[in-house]
Amino acid sequence: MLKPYAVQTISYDNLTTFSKQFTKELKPKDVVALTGVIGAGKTTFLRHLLSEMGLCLESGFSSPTFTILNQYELPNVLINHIDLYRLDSFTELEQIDLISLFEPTESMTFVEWADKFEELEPYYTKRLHFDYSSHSPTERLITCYAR
Amino acid sequence: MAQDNKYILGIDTSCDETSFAVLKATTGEVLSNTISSQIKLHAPFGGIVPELASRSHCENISLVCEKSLKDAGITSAQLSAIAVTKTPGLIGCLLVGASFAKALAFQLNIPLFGVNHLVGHLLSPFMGEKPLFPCLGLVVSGGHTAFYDVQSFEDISLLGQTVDDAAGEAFDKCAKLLDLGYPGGPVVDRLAKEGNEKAFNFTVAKVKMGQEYLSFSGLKTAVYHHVQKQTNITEHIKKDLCASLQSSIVKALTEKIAFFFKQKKYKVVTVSGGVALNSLLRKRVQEVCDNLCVPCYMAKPQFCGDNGAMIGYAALMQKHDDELFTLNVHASKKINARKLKQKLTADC
Repeated sequence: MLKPYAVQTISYDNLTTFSKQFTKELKPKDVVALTGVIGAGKTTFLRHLLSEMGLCLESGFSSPTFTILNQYELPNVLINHIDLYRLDSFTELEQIDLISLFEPTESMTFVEWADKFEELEPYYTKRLHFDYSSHSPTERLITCYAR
Repeated sequence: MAQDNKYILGIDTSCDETSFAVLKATTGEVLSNTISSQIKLHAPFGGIVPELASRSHCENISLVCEKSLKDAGITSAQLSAIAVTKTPGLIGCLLVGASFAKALAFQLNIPLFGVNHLVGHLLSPFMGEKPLFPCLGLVVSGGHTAFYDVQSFEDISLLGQTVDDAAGEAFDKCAKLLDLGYPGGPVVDRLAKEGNEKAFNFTVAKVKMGQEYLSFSGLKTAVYHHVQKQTNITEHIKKDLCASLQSSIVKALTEKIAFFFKQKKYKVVTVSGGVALNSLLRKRVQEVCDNLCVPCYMAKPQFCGDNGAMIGYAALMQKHDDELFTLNVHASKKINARKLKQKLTADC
């Protein structure tokens, strides 16, 4: 069971600082759940985080909502960026052989819309939940969860 | 076999659809273009199963192949080559197509081509037209929004692309925020026709990385806040929101066409991919091209979404020698690792 341990108010301008701080908490084999409504900032956060981890953004970073899985080879680790938004059932995950990426491997996996299928809950090692803030359109509340 | 009796089978299983097409190898004429979601299956005890299960390529593949050959009026024995998408896409999906294609090519003892899915889209506006080079190509869909410099069928470089959401995703997710259902693109297109595109101001995002990039993720947040502000989202407001956000997406794309055209004179501008079906995009791109005095080819509606015909066509256009005709076609798991200016080749 993942437990919340921090809630932070993050503006777009200090997203880089937050990403830097979160990078230090990541370990290989982590399967990180990213949750929150449309436009809450899941993909944007990941773009900042992967940039901190050494991804050259010019080489291409995009949302995997339609492609379902994007992979990035960083200097030390393979990143799986998964988006469950368009999947309708857990069976579909198995049909397209995506489930194997949730097993601990040497890669690091980030999953958007991670709370769609209960069956996946045991795989997650960390979770970040994104909420809009009532104070400012460019501000978000990020709740951090860990085991 | 007489030259005009040669047929090529094009296969695409890169994402949601299982698609097969038969083309005349000499002319590129499309004889059939069969897509799994369009096939209605008759259930054994009456009634109709709505459609084949999405992404269940293993279950669909033989059926779609048979239907495609039947629609074209040929048998598999009449095929002279097979083309299959090898990348980019979901590895599990690509493997189903590649394995099926390999087995069939081996059985029939005919050559097999591996085709890049994006090259398939990129070249699809040339189907039935006279290809012109150099060409400025826009591929715009749910998963991709990218501009390419196409010097020839084989010499293709990426010019710029989205840094977050593809244009099609922006349409779909904004439609979701407005409770319009899925897929959102066609609904937004329809409602926008009755709305005022100046009612709401959705600015085109500027990307710090450079003018060759686009960003659409801010649109969702903008729509979210507009929705939050309204106490009652009337049909009228929805239509205005659709018109305004569609106009902003189209503006972002047409501005980029003008930007790239200013850097280099192209003989033709092409638009392909699922979002190329959007009526306003087709209209505005035509206007921009008329102003630039350059012809514009848009993919025909039946070749905008993922389809096997574009894969067969790309293989026909890209083949140069018998080297490509091998069974050495592997699906590739690496996607989205392309660098700007890096060449897209038949083998990448």
